[in-house]
Amino acid sequence: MNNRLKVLRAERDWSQAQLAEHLGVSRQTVNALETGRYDPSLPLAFKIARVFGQPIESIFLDDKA
Amino acid sequence: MRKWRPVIKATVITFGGGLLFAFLGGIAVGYASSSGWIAPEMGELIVTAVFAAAIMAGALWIGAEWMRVIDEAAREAHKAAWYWGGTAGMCVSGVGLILSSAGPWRDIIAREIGSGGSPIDYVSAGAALMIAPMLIGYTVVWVWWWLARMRG
Repeated sequence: MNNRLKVLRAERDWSQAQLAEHLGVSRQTVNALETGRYDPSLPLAFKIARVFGQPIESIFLDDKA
Repeated sequence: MRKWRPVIKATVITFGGGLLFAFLGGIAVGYASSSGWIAPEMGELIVTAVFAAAIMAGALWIGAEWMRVIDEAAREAHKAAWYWGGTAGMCVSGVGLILSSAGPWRDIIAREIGSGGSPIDYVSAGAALMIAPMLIGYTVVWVWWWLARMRG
């Protein structure tokens, strides 16, 4: 699944560690999310949407659609 | 560090409590058996059974606290490792079980490793041979999962 996490994080000038702290996950998890190697659970996806103030579907893109 | 406090607490209580129980239980059994209240073998049976069950229950408690503390990706790594690694390990043990149970391999295995052990040795060896491949599989899959997703 593709996502815009890296762009959204860069817009806020946050490091991966800062985003990880906002989300309550490890920096490695943020890295795995950004590189598309790990798809988040629905609760984490909602949390990411809350942190960035955007709907889930504008952050996570279905690459099979 | 603060978030790890429940894990540390569970670990200290499990192993500290386990050692304390074994120590005090040993003294109590020694005293009770020397006073003739209980047969020494029965006392040892009770203490070691309670000790083993309590340590394993504590290990489960530590695992539960630990799973609550780690983040969801780390949890997923362990779930995948347990399912795929544990299952693959069980399949290896399953091959051993089938071959050593019946058929021509049974005789060959018996010839190679001997067949003069006591039944209790077979129980211990069987338990160890079931657990070991599962743990090896768990470790291999966990490392693969982690390196495939979390590097960088």
